[in-house]
Amino acid sequence: MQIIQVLVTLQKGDAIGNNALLLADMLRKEGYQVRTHAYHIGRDLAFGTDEIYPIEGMVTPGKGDLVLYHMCEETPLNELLRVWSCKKIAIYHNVTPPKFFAWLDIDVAAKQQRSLREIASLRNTFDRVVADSSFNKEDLVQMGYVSKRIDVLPILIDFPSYQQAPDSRILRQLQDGYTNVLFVGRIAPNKKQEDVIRAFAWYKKHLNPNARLILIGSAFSEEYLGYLRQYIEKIDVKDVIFPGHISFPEILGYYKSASVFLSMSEHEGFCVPLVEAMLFDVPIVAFDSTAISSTLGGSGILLKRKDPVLAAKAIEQVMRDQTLRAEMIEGQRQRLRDFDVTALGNRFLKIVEEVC
Amino acid sequence: MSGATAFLEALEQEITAGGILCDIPHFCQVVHPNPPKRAATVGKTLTADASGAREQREFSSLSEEIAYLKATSFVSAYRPIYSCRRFWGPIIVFCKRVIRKLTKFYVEPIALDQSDRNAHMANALALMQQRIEALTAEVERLKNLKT
Repeated sequence: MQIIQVLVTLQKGDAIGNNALLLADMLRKEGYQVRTHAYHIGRDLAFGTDEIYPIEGMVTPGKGDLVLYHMCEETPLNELLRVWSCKKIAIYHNVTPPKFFAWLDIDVAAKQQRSLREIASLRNTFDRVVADSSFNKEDLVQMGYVSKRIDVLPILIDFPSYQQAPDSRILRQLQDGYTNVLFVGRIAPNKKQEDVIRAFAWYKKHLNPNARLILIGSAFSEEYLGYLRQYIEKIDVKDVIFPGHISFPEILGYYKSASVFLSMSEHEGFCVPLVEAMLFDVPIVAFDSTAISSTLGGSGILLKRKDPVLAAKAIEQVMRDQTLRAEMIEGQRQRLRDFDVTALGNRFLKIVEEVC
Repeated sequence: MSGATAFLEALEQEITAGGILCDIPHFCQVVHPNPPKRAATVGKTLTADASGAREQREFSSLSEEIAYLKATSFVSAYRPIYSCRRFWGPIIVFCKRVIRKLTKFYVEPIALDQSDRNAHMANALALMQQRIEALTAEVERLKNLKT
């Protein structure tokens, strides 16, 4: 039996790509033969090594094979999956609703709508479905998927890779006594970086002028990034940094220098950066939306109301009250144990064994 | 985490009791994303109060809906055909394809008609939106005159 993992884009640094690579590694260690196929393969993942191949020219899986499909957008793969006669497990990473893009890029909004429709039409295609969060599971159930065939399993994160040395230049630049407010996530309308900027602007103006906001992530579109820069200029807030595309050691440097992690995102399927913040003992203040609360699992500070003043005051309290800060960090460390790769990997293996 | 919950409640009370409002304008009040279909909103002056911001956000939702309707007005007569049945699936797919071919002459004109109607409907809504914007601007102007 071969396990064939298929996805649209495979690249390092992307949560889905990292998850796919980790799954492939884990399954190989258990003795399975694993191939990974993708339409777009990152330049740092050479063809043929680690059994990574393009989709084009892929041999149709046989009846005894198992396909692991990372489901998150419209793709010709969805049509192929219907006709393949092998066993199939889908790993659902969520589709950002079209409403977040409609004002910015209608084509993207229409693509998201088509993605949702295609995923809904696959409801009877899979032997099992794995959802990254209970929010994602609920999404699938709304689309007509059978609840008892969906398992909730958090995304696998390669924690050992975070042990490497952070960029010392970033550490030197940022550890200057300033309060570093951090948000990590693709610069996209659903992540609501504009609301993070607004909360930060109020915080800097009224509570702590020695503060800096760092927004890490690649831009969904230059137009949206332009609107954010325009907003920053119009509200006249200083010390907002967009590092852009940076290396992994640089990301580690930012996490190590962060004083607090602030999220005002309105749509997340899981939110890996929250777990990364937990790993670096960065207290988290987050607006409660979609999968945020399930990923935090009771840790961090969850804002029920999206109020920039509330967010700013919460940051202030976290910075001032060392007891609260210690309590939060301890809660986050406990929550981090639930993302142990070995335990989650074993649960996934059990699902594979049950399907096969 | 009881500590975090308790302090959040205290913060909420502090904000409510102090009547503390955010004096930083909302993104929608400051930035005017302007896709071609919403040309009428360029230059619109927005009030900084909460109701103005809410109105603009609701209006933005309407624009989004109309833009989305325009983008997805096309109804395709072609739908991918599949069957989930393992054994009979290929036969069912073949039969469905034959039926699709035979009924194409009848179904396609209906889909085209519907697409045409959808496009006209979306355009009509866009024109109504422009009319509403113009009337709203006029109302604002008259209000300002009064004061």
